[in-house]
Amino acid sequence: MPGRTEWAKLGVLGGLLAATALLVVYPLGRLAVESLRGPGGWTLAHYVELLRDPELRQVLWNTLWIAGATTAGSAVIGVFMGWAVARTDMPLRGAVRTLSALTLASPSFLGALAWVLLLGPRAGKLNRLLMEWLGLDRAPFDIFSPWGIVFVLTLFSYPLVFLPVAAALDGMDASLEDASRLLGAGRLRTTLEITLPLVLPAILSGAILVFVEAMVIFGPVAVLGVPVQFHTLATKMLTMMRFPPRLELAAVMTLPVVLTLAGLLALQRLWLGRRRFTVTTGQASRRGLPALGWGRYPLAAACLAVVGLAVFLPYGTLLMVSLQKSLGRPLSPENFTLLDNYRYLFDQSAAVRALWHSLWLSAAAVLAALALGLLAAWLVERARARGRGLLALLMLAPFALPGAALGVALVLAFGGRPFALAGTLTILWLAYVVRSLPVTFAYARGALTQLSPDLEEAARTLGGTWLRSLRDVTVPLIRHGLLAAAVIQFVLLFRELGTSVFLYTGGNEVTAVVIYDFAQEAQFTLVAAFSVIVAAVNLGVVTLVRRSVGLDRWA
Amino acid sequence: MRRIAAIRAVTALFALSLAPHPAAGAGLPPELVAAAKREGTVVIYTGGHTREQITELAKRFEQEYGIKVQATRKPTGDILQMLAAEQKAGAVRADVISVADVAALGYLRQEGLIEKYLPPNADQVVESLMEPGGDSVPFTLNVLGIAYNKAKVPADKTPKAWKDLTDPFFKGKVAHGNPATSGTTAGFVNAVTRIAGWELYQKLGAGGMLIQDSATALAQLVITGEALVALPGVEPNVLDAQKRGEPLAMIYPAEGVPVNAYYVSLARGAKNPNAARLFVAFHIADETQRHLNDRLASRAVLKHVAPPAGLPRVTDVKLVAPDFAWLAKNRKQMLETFQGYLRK
Amino acid sequence: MSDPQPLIYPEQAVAKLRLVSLVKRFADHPAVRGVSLDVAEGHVVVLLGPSGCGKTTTLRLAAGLVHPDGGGIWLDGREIAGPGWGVPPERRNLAMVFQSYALWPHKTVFENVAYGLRVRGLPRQDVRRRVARALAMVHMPDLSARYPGELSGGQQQRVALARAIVVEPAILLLDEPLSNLDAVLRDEMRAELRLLQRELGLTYLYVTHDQAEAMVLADHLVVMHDGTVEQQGPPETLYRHPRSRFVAGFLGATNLVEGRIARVGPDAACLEVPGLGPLWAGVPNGLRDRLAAGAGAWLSVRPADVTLSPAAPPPGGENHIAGRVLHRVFLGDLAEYTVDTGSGAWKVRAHPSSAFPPGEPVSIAFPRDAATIGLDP
Repeated sequence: MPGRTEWAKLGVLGGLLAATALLVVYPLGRLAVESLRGPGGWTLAHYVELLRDPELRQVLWNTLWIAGATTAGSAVIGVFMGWAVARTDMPLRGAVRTLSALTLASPSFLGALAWVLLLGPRAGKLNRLLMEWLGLDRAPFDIFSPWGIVFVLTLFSYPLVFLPVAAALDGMDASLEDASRLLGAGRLRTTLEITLPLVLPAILSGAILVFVEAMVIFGPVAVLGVPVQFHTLATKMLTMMRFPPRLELAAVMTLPVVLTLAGLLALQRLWLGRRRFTVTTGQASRRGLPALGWGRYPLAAACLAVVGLAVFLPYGTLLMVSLQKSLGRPLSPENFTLLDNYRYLFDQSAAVRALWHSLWLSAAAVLAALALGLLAAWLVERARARGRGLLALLMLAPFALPGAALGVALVLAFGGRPFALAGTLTILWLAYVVRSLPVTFAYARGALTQLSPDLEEAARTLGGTWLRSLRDVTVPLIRHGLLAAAVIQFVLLFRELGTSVFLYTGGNEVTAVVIYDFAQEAQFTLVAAFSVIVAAVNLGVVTLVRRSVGLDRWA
Repeated sequence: MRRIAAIRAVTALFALSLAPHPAAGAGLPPELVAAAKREGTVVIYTGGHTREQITELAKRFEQEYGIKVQATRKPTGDILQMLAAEQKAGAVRADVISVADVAALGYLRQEGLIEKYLPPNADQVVESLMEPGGDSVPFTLNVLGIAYNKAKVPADKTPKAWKDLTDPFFKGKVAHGNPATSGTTAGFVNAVTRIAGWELYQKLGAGGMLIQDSATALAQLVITGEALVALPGVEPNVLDAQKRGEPLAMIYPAEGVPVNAYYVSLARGAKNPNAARLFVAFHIADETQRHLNDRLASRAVLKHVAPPAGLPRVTDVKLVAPDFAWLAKNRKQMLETFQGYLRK
Repeated sequence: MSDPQPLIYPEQAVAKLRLVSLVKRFADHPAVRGVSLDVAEGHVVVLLGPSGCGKTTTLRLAAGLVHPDGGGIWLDGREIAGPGWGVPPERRNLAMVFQSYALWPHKTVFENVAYGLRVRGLPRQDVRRRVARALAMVHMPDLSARYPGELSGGQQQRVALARAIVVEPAILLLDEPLSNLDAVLRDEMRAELRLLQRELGLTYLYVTHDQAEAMVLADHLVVMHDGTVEQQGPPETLYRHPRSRFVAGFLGATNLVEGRIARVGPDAACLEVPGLGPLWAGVPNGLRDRLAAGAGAWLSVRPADVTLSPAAPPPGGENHIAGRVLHRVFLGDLAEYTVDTGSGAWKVRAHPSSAFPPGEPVSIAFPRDAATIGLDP
């Protein structure tokens, strides 16, 4: 007869599974059902249509190419910068971390638009400068190309690898590297053979997220690829879904991506295998940072260059545009206004409301997702229960859903009776929780992988219940990972466009929707101003969290 | 006898003059107006209003009748998707639906999302704008010309006819909407090919047109000068941008200019049916139309209202409406032909 | 800064490692404030002290993981570190066993142990052979394909040891390697460490906070406190003749009383202790010159050196104190008494068969050469 604590544990875990079923399985299920329904009853016709499409092969190839190149670029940059920030005494480490998080704060199409302003082949400002300096008569860079898409996406996605890797390295016991050095390995060899392989779980998790996101992302491909007939799964499918509305295609399109995700997760399990990566055993480990000597400065310059490309250039451009009266004329005394655009925004009750909605919806969603993600990660990592591969897949699946597809799924699942949540803020909150599960789960899992189970077991043998050991031992030890997940996901939610636009019905706007709305009307100066405000708010939130939790490294 | 007839006539005239003003109540029976006021609110999903238009309309409607307007404004394609999802879930929330093109209207009709409703003064609307389905009413008219960046296009290169666009000066710098995703652009392509033939697209495609799904990027391309010309140039959008100081201008080629109207319809099973009817009727009420026309430069659809100052009269420009019946049947084909010309 | 103590070795020994006046400051506190010691080839030198005393930092200075702020380090006659600089750890040919073992969880046992050899570029055959030998020496031959996460604490410790000795380092540094083991395993490993050292002729620089461990292992014991060396020398010397209260108290239970010097003899002195009368004790070398009559001093004598007899001491006996038994604790191989002398409680260890019940009046005594007199600095 299980004791009371066992019931509590079963209850909590059961609650988790029920919540997962409700939030992930049910909407996806409705979507899947929809994809199998036709005018005459059940049918596979929609899937067949996809398979028969003559352009399918090209589109799939494009999609995989974009995803692969972006992942490679993000992994290289992310690991390099993670190492620089967490395992050296490079100057400006904290600034690089904080600024990298800012990349996450804007919808992807915004970055693409900003880069068009900079590297458009005909009128891009950077291209113009380069042509002048180097005496060229053709622009050296054309952003309207697959490489342009990869460039923008890599800058957009590298924090998804960088931040977890930095967090993992922060938590690593430095004696592991010391041991290697004493055995005769120099710094480089130690880094390559010891340090980096130990953060392989973090690298792989981040890479999978980047890969899947790049497969389904719409914004940059629409802005940079479609004009030159370069389509990926997302643009092709969303185009087909637009008119006439064909909801069943949402699921059809999602299927290959979810299958890819499942495949990648299986690969990950295989690669990591039975090797353990436990490095945090609860003993006070030293956190000394090896000194690099003069090499610090080029390193800092390299990291700043990345941050410059990812943050300063696009946001700088947006800032400049926000100070103009009109986009089409260059910045000049006649075309300058310090506050007009900002004042207009604040007069718009919709903009202010949207900011308010975004802030508390994101916070509320992140908290819920943290709890669910942690419990799911615990089940997958500790309990070694059967079917945990499936649970991991369900937790990460929302990443594989294009925004509109998730919107369709949620309306189908919760719009009608008995929930009747269409058009409310609640359904948007649900969407955000679902959207947040992958990141919180991935981080929690990564942190748990590195944590020895002995510590929780110690707490249990001392009489604590499972829940208490989770609360008193596990959570504090992985709090860095959890906090990083919370902050990152909070900022990421400001990026979320597809679902927010789909579910928007007048009362539940969020910042991304308002920005998109202004962009639809070609009010780019307002787009720029609002983006700057959103970035500033996010910067404020991140800095505040960093300070208040008293971490000098907010991993 | 004649005196009695005269008195009757005078009485009739007098009665008429005492009748409620067409704008107030828009010619609708007072019971409906009262019922609408009791409902107190109306929900509109619109792809066919600009922000300015819907804000103004909502404000005036509320001032006039005290009924709150809850507006959701998104591109037509997004509106349709959302309606489709809500319909499947059995939870359609709209009372009034507005779309930017007839093809979308056809979809609404086909899916049973709208009911036939024509306000009492529908006969005052320009006939050619009334769409064949006969269940919805247009409330503003868009002229779709050529939008160009006047800071970057010198006066001698300014296109005057459609074929001027094939000038090498514009090679690779023509941005075009996507007829596959935008009903307005589909109608535009249909009308332009009837005016200037498919050779126009053959040549433009060979030179490399930049296709954009979203109006956003289309506008940004031409405002920043990445493209010199945007097709279609949607009149209210261009005028809006001009007001803000952007260097855009419109061309209305003499041989013919496509038009597009925005439609407003009554949703089937509306929760606020009376307020919905009232709101639809409000759109083409005389005062509203004049206000849109004169204050927002949004062309009125009523026969007797002159176009906004500074814009060419409907009669001065040869307006070509898209052939909706043909489009409904041959859409796929047209899209394929269009796509074909884009292959380099 | 304390004066460097001269080496006391039974035979002529070669100093393999010399630490001279090392100073290391961290941001918030000075960790090492002038530490000097020599490590002779083939010997076990143990740094003993409470946590925070700087012993681990000293070890890390020797390893090259941190650079000194002052002083210098010589290895085999070559200077390898000075203020602000040092030869990097990978070039010192030292090896270290960490408190947390620092086994790489993503490598198998074999790969862990083989690492140092691979880094040195040895051919595969040699690597395999030497790894097998090292694992055999630590009694872990069959587990080379396992991962550290699959091993018990004791097994991990042996692998860590194997990894360090397989490269035949000049000196093996050990940072509290036994502190994570349970008592039985600890004793076992302690013995094995000693055996291994003898067999292979290794030189150990060993850090611990456990005085029993230190006493068992050390050829040369260095007691550290608050960043400095309190006393260093053979363990027995330190035990029997501590030079500071700290050392006296740290190395085991002791009876410590204070008083004033009454008389100074050729190799002993008399301390007048209030309430206990005159007590004679030995005086360490070099201290006699600093003793002056009337100066304040202290006296330490170990419980095992104090004898217990029924009351009424023989007349004329030296160092006799009358008292009354407070407790008696039976510890298996001895009995420990706490005796109230009227001016403090004394601990006495006696044969387990002795039976002086609580309340019994007794007389305690100790020979003068079992006691030490010391001065506070």
